Amino acid sequence: MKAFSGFAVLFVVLLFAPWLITLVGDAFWLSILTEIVIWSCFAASINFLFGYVGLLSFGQALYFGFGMYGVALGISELHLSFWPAFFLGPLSATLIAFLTGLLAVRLTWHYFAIITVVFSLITYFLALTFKSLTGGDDGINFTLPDILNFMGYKLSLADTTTQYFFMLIVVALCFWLIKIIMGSALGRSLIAIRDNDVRASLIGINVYRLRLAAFVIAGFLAGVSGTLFALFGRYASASYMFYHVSGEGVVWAIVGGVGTLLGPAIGTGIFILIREVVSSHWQHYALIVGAFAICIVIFAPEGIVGLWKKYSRRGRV
Amino acid sequence: MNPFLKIENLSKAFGGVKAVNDLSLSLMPNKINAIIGPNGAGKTTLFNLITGFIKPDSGRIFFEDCELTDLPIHQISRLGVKRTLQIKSVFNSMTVFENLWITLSAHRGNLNPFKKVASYQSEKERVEEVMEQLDLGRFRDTPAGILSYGDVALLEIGMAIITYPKMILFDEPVCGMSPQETEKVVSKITSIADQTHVVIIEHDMDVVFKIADEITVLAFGEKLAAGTPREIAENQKVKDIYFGTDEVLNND
Repeated sequence: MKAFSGFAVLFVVLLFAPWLITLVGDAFWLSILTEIVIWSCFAASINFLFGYVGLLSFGQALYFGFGMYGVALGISELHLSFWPAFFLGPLSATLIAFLTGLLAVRLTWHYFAIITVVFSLITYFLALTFKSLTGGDDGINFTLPDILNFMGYKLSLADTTTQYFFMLIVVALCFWLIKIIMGSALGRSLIAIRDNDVRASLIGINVYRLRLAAFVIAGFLAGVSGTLFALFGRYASASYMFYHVSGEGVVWAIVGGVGTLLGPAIGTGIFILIREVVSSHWQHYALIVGAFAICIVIFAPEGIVGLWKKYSRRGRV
Repeated sequence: MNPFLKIENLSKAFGGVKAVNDLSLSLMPNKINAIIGPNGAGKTTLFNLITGFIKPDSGRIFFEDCELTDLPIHQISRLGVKRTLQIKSVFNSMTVFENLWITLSAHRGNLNPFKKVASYQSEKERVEEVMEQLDLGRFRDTPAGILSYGDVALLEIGMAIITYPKMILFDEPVCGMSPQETEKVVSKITSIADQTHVVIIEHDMDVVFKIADEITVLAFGEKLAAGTPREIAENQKVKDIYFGTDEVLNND
């Protein structure tokens, strides 16, 4: 009941956010909220691997980057219209996640973390090398096609409210998909692998294949958020493939609470807000971020959602 | 009568140590087969080889009509060969119900990502049945990680039997248990043996000689002797390996 009311409040706030924001402040905050929504999906990708199957990836930016370039190149080079380009992003991320995953999920723990970093570094430097196509760190810009242009009715991301709701719907669908998967036999099998991979294989679970499946799903989620972020910024850049982007996502997920559905979104929200509020006053805002992350890891190892669950349970008893 | 488990010239070395050395065994059905031997005799290595944890250097393993030698762990498990581990091993963050459920579900290969866990009716019924059978019902929603040692052992046994396996390998099932817990586990194993082949590694000789119908003695990775408990108890080679060849003991 309590969890449900939490969901409901969040849902209502997000649904009316464009109007709530104009009531209390600058419309600029709507684009910040849009950014939080987009990056939440990225943190969810990291959480899917680390929280649900026990694989800590420091290379999810690679799939974020493929999502970005998928949609950007689809529009600027292949001259696709909105929807084909939109699907090209997650598709290319998912495909590359499958190919790299074949190798990566043979490893676990720090070996896995290292190989994911290596993969993302390789593609980062490849993207720099093929500057004519990718634009390197400067990136490439593109002009946004309309979502819909039908008999005089036009829908475009150029409108910030439309853009917000578009991102919100896509990310909400992703979170819903995660919820469905985790409530299924597949989800339970992933948790079993996270808990005890030896016992998991002893009861008949094909650990390698399911780790690969999780890796592909996580690649898809990162690809979706990359696609959305490219549409949001109307550009794609190799700098988003770099591992500091992955690292930030890991911090967001851990602070919010790994192994929970909404933890990654909450962590993302808090850190992006800290960045926006503090960075305009003080350039060393990263210090606050770091100190905050360290405190959470030490005092609330299950993250903010874990802390909240603990206290709400205690309150009930 | 054909043996259900047949091992032919099996060898496995770790570095220079021959943990299992050209071992051939045939285990006959309708009995509790015990495997005993001093530490380092290769008992657990043998279980690891049978269940696919490690691959032999040479030799072959047959279970009923299937060759297990080159199969991965999860496939051997799905053939109906289940195992408990020397150090109890369950899913700690999951409840007792979830532990049993996932065990059955994995055996049946359930993976549909769009079907809710709660909608698997026959799985649910079987889990309730096993919980009742092992008196685990009161821990239905308790995470396995906070159960007592004896209850974890019972849960592990539940996870071994829930899939109606053809063979269960018990690796030191009563190790570290109180006399009461031991008695409980021993009676469970005896009743399980009515329905499925049971092979047990155990150091507690009281238990072994009480429940085993056939005992195989390993030493240095080789078969030293095999026979009924009475034959083994009287076997001179077995006495030597356990007690040494000291004159005083021999004359005792």
